[in-house]
Amino acid sequence: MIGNTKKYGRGDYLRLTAVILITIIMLFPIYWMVMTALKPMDEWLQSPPVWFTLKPTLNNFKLLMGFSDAARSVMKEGATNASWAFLKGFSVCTIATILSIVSGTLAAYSISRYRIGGNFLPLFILSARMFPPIAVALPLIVMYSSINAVDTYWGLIVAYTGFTLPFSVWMMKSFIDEVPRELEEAGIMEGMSNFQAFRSVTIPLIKTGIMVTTLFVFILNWSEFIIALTLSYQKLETVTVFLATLFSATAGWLYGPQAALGVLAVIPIVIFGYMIQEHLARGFTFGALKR
Amino acid sequence: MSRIKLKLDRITKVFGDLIAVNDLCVDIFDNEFVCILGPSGCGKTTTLNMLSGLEVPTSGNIILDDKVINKLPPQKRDIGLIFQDYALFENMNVYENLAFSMRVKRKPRDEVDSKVREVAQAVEVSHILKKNYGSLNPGEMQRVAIGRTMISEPSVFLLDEPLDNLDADMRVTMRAELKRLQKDLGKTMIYVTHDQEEAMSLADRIVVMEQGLLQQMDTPQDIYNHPVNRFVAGFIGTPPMNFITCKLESISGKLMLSSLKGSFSMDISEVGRHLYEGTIQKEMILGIRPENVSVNIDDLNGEKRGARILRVEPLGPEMVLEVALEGDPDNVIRALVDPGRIPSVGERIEIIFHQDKIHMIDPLSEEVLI
Amino acid sequence: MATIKLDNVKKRFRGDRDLCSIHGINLEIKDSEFFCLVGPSNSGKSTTLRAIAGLVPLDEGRVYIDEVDVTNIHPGKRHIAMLFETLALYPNRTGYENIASPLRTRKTPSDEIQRTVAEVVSLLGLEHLLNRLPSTFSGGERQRVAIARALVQRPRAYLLDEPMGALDARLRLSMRGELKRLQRDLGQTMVFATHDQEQAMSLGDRIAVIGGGVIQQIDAPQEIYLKPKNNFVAKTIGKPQMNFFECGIANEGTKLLLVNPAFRIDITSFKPDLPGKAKTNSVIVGIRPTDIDMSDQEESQDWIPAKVHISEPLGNKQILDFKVRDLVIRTVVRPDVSYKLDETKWLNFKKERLHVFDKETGISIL
Repeated sequence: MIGNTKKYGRGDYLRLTAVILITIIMLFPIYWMVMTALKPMDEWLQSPPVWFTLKPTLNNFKLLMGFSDAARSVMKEGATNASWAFLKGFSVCTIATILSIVSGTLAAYSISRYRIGGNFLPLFILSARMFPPIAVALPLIVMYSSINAVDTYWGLIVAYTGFTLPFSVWMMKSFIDEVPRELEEAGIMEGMSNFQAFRSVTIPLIKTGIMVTTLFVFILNWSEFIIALTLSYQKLETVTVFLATLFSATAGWLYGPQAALGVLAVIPIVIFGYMIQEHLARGFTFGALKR
Repeated sequence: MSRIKLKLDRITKVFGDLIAVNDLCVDIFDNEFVCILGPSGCGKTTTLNMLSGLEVPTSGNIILDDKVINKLPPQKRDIGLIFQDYALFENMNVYENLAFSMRVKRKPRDEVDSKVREVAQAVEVSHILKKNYGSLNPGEMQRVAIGRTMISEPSVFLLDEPLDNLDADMRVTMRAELKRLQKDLGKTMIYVTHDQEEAMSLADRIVVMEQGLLQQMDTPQDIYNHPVNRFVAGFIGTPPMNFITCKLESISGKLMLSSLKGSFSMDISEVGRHLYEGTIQKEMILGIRPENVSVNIDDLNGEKRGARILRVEPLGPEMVLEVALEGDPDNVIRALVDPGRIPSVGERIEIIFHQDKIHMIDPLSEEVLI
Repeated sequence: MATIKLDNVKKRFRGDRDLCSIHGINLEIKDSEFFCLVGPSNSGKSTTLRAIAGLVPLDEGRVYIDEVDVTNIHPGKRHIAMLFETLALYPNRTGYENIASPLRTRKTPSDEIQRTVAEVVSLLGLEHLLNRLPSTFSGGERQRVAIARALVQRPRAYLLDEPMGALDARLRLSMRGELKRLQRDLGQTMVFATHDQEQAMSLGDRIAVIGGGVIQQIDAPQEIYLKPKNNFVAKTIGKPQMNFFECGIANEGTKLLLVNPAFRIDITSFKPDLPGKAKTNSVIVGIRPTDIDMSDQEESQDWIPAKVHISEPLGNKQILDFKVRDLVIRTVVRPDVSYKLDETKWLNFKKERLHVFDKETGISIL
């Protein structure tokens, strides 16, 4: 403890209260989502709102899975059930994430070590993200239809990879910059080829960076809606697109099942985050202090 | 007689099992330039941290101007700290760097301006007030760092190895500037370093530490000529002192010091006359500085001994010879001589020890007896 | 053991790395030589070493090792080991793994790896570091592990880039001895780059002074000390640094003088050819602090009266700065000399040790 070690003063209690308040506000949407997922249909839109349901039910989840007759009648014709959406969405996002990380890391390495593209290329890559995806959606579908890529999984994967590359490249570049070049040079002097040095020396040292960037890119892909919606027609489906189909002519938007889908969608992220949690703290503050 | 400015009274700092600073007692006078000297891990940085307030002593008192300041946080002490890399603000120019602490306290603008100009003049940066951080040379950076600390008008300055990152020649120039600055400003400075040459050239007095303990506190010349123990004797002085294990015996009424292999023996009845009886027949360590080992000189009294050259280091204005006495290859002795003809390795030469400049060290207590 | 030759090697950096450009380096390093490259930071030392290693592609020039042109050969295949300033130990591998790394890269069979590593480890006394990570090593230990990693490669030559930078003064001194001993015992060619001229002087068989990306002078240590070719070399070598004064050459009857506002020196018998060799009348005069005599009286007319300005006692000598008018003259005197601040003493430059440099080019005249 720097300086004196007094007991907690009044200022400390005030600060604590403020932090607790802010945390509650930030976590509230998640709480509401979980609650809504467990509410029966009559409570979805009640006013005043039901803060804590006394009649929790798993019907919303069942509906997602297409288990009940009510479900089948309520959902749109030809609608698939949530598990397919999950599967398709997950594979698309995972593949797109892996592609983005691999190519992003390689690009970042060449930019960091060899200054490929000078000052222009890195900024050009970054500028790709300065367009809001919706602005690009229309040109994208025009391009895709001319090559018959609409409604294909690969089409979406390529699009997602492209959109997340700026993040991959820039985040990995900052991690690679932190690794002293001399370590690779030492490897090269020992007889490694440039690529071997990259693989054996650099990669192990940026593992944290890779974990953090992967999580970040995956979240971007997983929560993406507009492009997926634009490019999907019959076969292609992601979780976000499926969410938008939870509408019934008689009941309107099916908030309950939508919340239930939200709860399920958060699970993979939470699991992944938990697996890499020790790397997260390090990864987020990396590069904060300039040596 | 200067008054005592800062007093460290039995300061101890313990980290778990490690006693970083052990019962340190030091008195520092007003306007004194004191260097705390020791190898890495000796406790000097911890001591500095306790003085600045970044660490709290486990026991003991720090007394500044007759006030105990242990419990005061750093900002309330009258002490300024200058970091190893100066920690100046890189996005500001000299003026803004100096003015920063006052602006943070929201002092009125004209007050800030006059104070900054006053300090700038004292540290001689008035002509570069508008210069940006990036264009400052190390000398200017040092002065700005000191100036910035001076704004809050501390009465004591702490410097944490500020010259460590500089090139050898830059360091020498900066040393001289720093010393002059201290004398001109008339402030008390406490300077931490591991470089004994730096401490010797800067300090009015040196505090030598090792393993948390105070070894000796004295003026540079006194520490050099009269080290109190083996550590100080071997630490101060470049090239370092030679140590040779010897036997002390009384032979026909004379006090003789001889090497274990018998390659030399010295009559030290004169210099050793006050040694008490108990030390005779014991093993002693002979300490002699390289500049007190002469080579091939004819007009010195003392026995010349034959030796072979192991290594030659020509250093320009002087030369270091590493030699081994004949018949005693394990004892390597360094001699500092004037440059001349460069002898070759393996050549036989004659060396003489200056008998009035020897030290004798008890191997067990490691105290210097002569 | 190898000879190394650099032939007009050039490399420009446009600020994309923190290395400095070199503009035509010519070097010939002999077999089993301990060759030191000395210069201030930003003089191109690291770049030169990297050029020998092959870690930077060259703009121009060729590199020869053992008379073979290796300019286009990959660094790993040149059989040279390099020790970096930051030591570059792999932080995520144990001491053993760090030392074994080169052998693993070369796919050496594991029993041979174990044997070779064990040999080197016992040579340097690193047994206790084998299972620990570099972050737990002390400065000296990291040094030695880095050296071990270089030794296992059994290279033809070693390149060392400021290897003692991170050590404290004491360790540096003892490492110097170890390094020299190692070099002698192994008989290896070593190229050692440093900014510390004392290190270079004490270790080098020959020294090359480098500045501004160009080699200024190559010679044995004492030669460079006594006969620097220009004022840059004179400034770089020798501690304390040489004093430099701007002087004019003047004739007074038959006498030849060097004059400046603070003093006049009669050099009639010492450097009579000076006016002929100097291009202008204004030159830079250099005199080393150790080549200045001091006395309490004016021994002769030539002696300069000066006031004691700053003193630095260094144990076996003292450095005294004197002030004459605005000029500062630094001298080295014996430790037993006494003085008081602002006291006037008389100084004499040893005329036979005077250096004269051209004011424009800095090249030594005579």
